Amino acid sequence: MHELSIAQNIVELVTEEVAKKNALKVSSVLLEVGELAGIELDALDFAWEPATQNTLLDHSELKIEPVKGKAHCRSCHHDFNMTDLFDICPFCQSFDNEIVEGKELKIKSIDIEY
Amino acid sequence: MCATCGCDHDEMVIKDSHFDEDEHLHDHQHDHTHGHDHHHHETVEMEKDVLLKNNLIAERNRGYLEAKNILAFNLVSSPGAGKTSILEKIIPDLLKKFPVYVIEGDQQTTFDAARIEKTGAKTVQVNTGKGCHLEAEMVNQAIKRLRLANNSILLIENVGNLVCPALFDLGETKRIVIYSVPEGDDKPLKYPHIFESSDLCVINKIDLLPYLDFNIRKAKDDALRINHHLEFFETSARDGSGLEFVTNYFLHELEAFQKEIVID
Repeated sequence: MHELSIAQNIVELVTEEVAKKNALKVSSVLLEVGELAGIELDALDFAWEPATQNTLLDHSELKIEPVKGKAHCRSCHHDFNMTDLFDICPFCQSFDNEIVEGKELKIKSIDIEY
Repeated sequence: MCATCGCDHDEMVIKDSHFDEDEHLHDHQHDHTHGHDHHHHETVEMEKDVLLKNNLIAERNRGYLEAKNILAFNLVSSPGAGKTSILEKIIPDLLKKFPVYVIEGDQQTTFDAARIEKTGAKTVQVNTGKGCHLEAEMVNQAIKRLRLANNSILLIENVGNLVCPALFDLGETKRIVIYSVPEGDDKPLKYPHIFESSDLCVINKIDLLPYLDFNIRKAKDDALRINHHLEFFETSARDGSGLEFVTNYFLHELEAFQKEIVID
């Protein structure tokens, strides 16, 4: 369950950010999560409440902006949609692929109240 | 009732001669301006990587290790795949050439550290408690306690877990996934992230191949589908087969690493 660490990391980064703003509370967090980032969204959702308890993020909403996986084939130089890390190039069946999108795990923005 | 906005919070009216009748406390918000406390909303753009802190500390670890010419390996596997057993067998040979240090990551107990210490390598146990993986900060603390000598090898045995350690860079030079035959040949496809993020794959317990339906070709092909850079070693920590290749690999890597250093 590394999602609990992920949630705690988010709480830490957001808490530091709002400390500059004198915010009373954080009402929502918008998180960009790539499909290939290795994050189980249900597990992250489950971890959200305990991770945010007794912080400025208590009762905040975690909003997810998913990012589709995309890879570049080094053999035939086509780009293709990748839904699993073991997907091969649909054009030339090569394994030699480089992930170009879908590994994102980023806090985009937060809504605060003060 | 509030004369200004019509809200019904009689119980919260402050009976005080210093206040006007409509000056009371209530916790909802209005979008018009009047004399109540109310909240302002703001959206703050952050654009911050969630793993930023871990990655920054990992890079600090990496810089420190590089400057001291220390080769660091992060060993990841499921529990019981043979990480500690492999280390017990190869450390005595590594120690003949270079100082070896070990960071033992486990949720609880110092059992593994006690086993490794017997080999003569300086060892620090990190107990993660409820944590399911090591993080760069824990390695940073452990490195300080180990007081590493230059030109040495640091072996970091991560918590036994095929999922969580994949996301956490520790500052290692290379990541090694140890994968054992009894786990079945379907693990690379089931746990792709750990194979994707590793540089080497040690297939351990190959002495059990005659007794189990483990297709080693399939296991390797699947792992290569995820990560075509992956290099393989086949070992048995029990009977010692294949371990000399792992030892030699470590020694060659460290020697090659030393040759890169240009001395003025």
